[in-house]
Amino acid sequence: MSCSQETADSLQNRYQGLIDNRSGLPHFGAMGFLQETASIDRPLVAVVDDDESVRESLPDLLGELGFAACTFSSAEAFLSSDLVGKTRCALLDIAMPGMSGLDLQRELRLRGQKIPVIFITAQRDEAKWARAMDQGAVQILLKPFSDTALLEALNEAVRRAE
Amino acid sequence: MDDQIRDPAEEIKGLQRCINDLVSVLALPAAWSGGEPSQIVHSLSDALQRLLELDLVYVRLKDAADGAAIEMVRLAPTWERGPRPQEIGSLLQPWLREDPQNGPTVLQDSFGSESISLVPLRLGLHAEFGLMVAGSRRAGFPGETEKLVLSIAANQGALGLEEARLRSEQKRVADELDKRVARRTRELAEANEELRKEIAERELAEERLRQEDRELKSSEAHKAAILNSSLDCVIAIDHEGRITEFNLAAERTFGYRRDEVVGKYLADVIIPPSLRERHRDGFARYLDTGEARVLGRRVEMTARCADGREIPVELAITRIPQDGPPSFTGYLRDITELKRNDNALREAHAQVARSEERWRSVFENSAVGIALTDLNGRFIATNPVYQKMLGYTGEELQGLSVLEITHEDHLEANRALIEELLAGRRRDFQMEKRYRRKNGSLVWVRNNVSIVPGTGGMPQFLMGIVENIAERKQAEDDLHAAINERTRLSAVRAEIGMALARKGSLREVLGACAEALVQHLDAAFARIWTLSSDGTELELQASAGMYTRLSGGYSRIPVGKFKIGYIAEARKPYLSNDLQNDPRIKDKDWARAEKMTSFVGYPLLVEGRAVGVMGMFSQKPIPGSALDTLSFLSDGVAQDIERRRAEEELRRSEAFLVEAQRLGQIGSFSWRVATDEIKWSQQLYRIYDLEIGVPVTFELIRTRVHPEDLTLYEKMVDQARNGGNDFEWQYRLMMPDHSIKCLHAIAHAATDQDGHLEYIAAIQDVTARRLSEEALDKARSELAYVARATSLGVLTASIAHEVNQPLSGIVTNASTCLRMLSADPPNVDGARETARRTIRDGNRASDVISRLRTLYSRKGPAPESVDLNDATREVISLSLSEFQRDRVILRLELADDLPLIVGDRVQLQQVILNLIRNAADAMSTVEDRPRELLIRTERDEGDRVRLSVKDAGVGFKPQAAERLFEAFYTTKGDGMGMGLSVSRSIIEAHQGRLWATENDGPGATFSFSIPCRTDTKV
Repeated sequence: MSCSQETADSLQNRYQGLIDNRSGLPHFGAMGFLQETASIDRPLVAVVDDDESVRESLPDLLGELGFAACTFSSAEAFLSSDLVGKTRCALLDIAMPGMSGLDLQRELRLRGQKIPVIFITAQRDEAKWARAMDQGAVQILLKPFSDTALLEALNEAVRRAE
Repeated sequence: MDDQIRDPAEEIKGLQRCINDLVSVLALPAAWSGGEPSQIVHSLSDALQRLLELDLVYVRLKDAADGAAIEMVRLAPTWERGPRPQEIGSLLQPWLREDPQNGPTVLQDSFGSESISLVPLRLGLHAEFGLMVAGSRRAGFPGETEKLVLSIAANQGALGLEEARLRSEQKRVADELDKRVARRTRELAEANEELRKEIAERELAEERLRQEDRELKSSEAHKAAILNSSLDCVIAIDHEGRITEFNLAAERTFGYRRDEVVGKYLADVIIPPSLRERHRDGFARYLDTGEARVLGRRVEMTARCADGREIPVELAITRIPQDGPPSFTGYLRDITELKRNDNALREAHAQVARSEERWRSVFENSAVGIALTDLNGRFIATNPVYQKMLGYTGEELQGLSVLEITHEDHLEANRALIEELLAGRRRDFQMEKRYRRKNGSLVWVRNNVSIVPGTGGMPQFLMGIVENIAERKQAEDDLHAAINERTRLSAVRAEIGMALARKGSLREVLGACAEALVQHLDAAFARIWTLSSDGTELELQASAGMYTRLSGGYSRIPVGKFKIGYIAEARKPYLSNDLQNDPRIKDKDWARAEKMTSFVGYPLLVEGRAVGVMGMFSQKPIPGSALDTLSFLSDGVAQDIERRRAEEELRRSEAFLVEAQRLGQIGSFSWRVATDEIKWSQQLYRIYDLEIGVPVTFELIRTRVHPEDLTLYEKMVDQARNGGNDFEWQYRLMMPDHSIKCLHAIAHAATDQDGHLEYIAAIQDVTARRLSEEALDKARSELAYVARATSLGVLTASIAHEVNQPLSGIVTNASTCLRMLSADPPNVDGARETARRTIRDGNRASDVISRLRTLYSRKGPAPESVDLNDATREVISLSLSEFQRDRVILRLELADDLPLIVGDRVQLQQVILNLIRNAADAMSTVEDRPRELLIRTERDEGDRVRLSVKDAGVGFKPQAAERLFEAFYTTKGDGMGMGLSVSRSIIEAHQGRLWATENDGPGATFSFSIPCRTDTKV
């Protein structure tokens, strides 16, 4: 948990640095190197997953797809960060220790944050999926998912947000 | 029903004879009336000897008067070889010393060579009249009826003797009384005569004296002569009290000479010193006042003689008529004789008075009533007993006559008897009659009336001695009633006995019993119910009389309902003679319409248990004695119902046993060790597949025993032969078709009648059970698999998670890689990095899958060397994500020097996984403390290895410690309750032990311990 918190913190530090030092816009990958295609319009996608390999691999793909990404290892870490207001779309794992993805989705709504939510999950659980869709989820992606499926869901999320 | 049921015709003939005998015995007292005790005893013994064909009748009478015994012996004509009559008393003496108990008891005694049955009988309740012994050499003496006859005869004898004794007693008392009165009267008459004579003499003497006096007066000269010739003492005194004259008679009487006393004071001479003072006072008073107390009167006083004797004297004092100082003449007469006569008379009067007093006392205090009447029967006097008996006071009776209070039925006879008495044809009579009491009720009395001759002008009168015999009459009536009852009872008994002895269904038999009740006990109808086998209902089995239908409203009565049900429940008889108002009767209209007044019901009891109810209704009152009758009969009927039930039960249970043996493939055998006699049941022949009935020998058995079990078999037989203990073993048979049978034998050592060792054994064919046990083993391992699959199924989610995570990483990284490579310019560094990550994740996924394969692979138990630490780590690696998700903090304390164990790795891992999952679940609700899970491996004592899983969860209740391991026991909402049960069977298959303990703090610790080297069949 502390590890993912660190990740979030370091990302934020880098983000601040980028704003100060470069275009003033968030543009970065999980690996820390600057994307050539970065633009100031890139919408910020928050990835919340307790699995490290997801937090490791997704930001790069999101970057390739034209999004900015930040990662959190738990729902609590995300809620306590100051990036909630800036997030345009949230990619949430459903089963997480502590607060689950569904809990986070509800919590965001309660806080008046109308962030579109895409769930990514390794478990096929129809009941939870139905609940997630009822709560207004954009899409549920079963791991492993393809880049196109992710892109479609993200496009839909952005469209909804506008 | 103590009598053997004999041929009914014979039984009835016997009863007939018995009744005849009883009638003869009861007729005896009529012949005895007024007889002597010896006559009574003679006729009683004769009658008994004749009626019962006795060989010996011995009677020893106590004589009431002096207590001397009178013996009497009656012997049969055939009594030749027995002892002589005069010896019998002394032969019986030692045997009779102990007072025979109430009622006849039978004693065997032998006189000479022959054995004789003797029945001692008391004459009178406390043998107060003596004893009687009846003896017979007949076998079977005395029978029931003979006992009855004997006891009634003894009773009758006692009554006769009592009457005789009473009669002689009364006669004696009356005679004695008469004699005494006559004697006293005679004595009195004599005394009176003497008195009359004396009075006449005295009158004569006085006349003479007066004559002489007159003559003396006419001549002074005659004075002295007169004085001296006087029979009376004449003493004259002057006014000072000095003696002036003392005549001859005085000299003779007092022993003084005249010249000795003349001139002396009278007081000093003949007045006794004790009276002198009074004399002087009286004399002085007279001189002073002229008041005379003795003068001119005859007084009696005591005078003193010269020799000091004091004698009674009669004294008359006259004053001598002359001038000057007064002088006196005293005439004295010695009245000693007279006094003596007087005393005798008084004594005689007193004696009469005492005699009367005694008579009165007898009269007043007598225990019997006594009445005196005039010759017309009018009461003169009655004693308190008599008054009490009749309820009148003495005064009330005095206006009545005996005949007025006598019951009409006896009047004529009574009058006739009184007339005979008055005509002098008899001195007394006895009669038993009823008096009417003042309140109108009747009382039975025995009246002994005699005429008392008048004496000395006293009129004749009648004396009645009356005894209340109500109790005796009642006893006689009761006896008659008892005999009637008994006769009736015998008839019913005989009939019911026959019914019970008859073959037939229970209903037929009970029907005949009910029929007998109706016929002999005057019932309108009689019914018999039996208790249903579950004991809740009474089922109508028989109905005779007015109703004979067995179906209908009362065919089944719940126990406790209606009177019948109450009788069965309370197990007490119920008698009602007021049915129409009885609260227990449901249908009172019916009772009224049918004029049914009475009901009696009796529970049929066997050893205090109700088996049914017998009841009857009657249109007449049922006497209490009917209860006795029913009580009597109910025993027999109840026993019969029970016996028939038991027989039925036995037949059924025998059939059950045969069937059970067949179904259970159980054979049985007995083996007498001493003779090697072996008996087999049919089923055992079937089990051994031998022809039923062939003689069984050990050789024959050997041919069937499985070759591999022969040694064991022979060992068992040897042990059994020498041991004498119960034993149990399992062995196999090899049948001719080479099929195998497994047998289980249980033998019980017993001792037969002759004290020889005998085994009784049951042998069960357990082949099927064996097969099914194997099948069960298989099923159990299937179950273990299912349970494993289930618990893994529960894990599927996390396993899918486990596999899909790396896959997700792989797919994402590969996608990124492709996109980086197809970018312009291609981002080769990024692509290389993502490709590297792809490979890493691929390996991770492969690891997961190979671990799952191991866990999922369903292969049979495969013993191999297992490092418990490794196995534990593998399980943990599969569960880590779950721990993380459930916020479980894992601590591992794995011993470094843990020896290898032999066992099934996958099964053991299954157990570890189970324990860990349980531990995690137990902590799922814990929020106030760390969810710490400690897994520890260590060496255990006795070359064992132990693994324990300690959680900080909710723990378990102490009483649940063992139940935890039961199948389907679960505290979890979603658990199947199979985990721990399967785990324990796995550990036990490894010859290990799995247990649970509570922690000092929160939570529980589950541990297993397994030997390092096992020759287990896992």
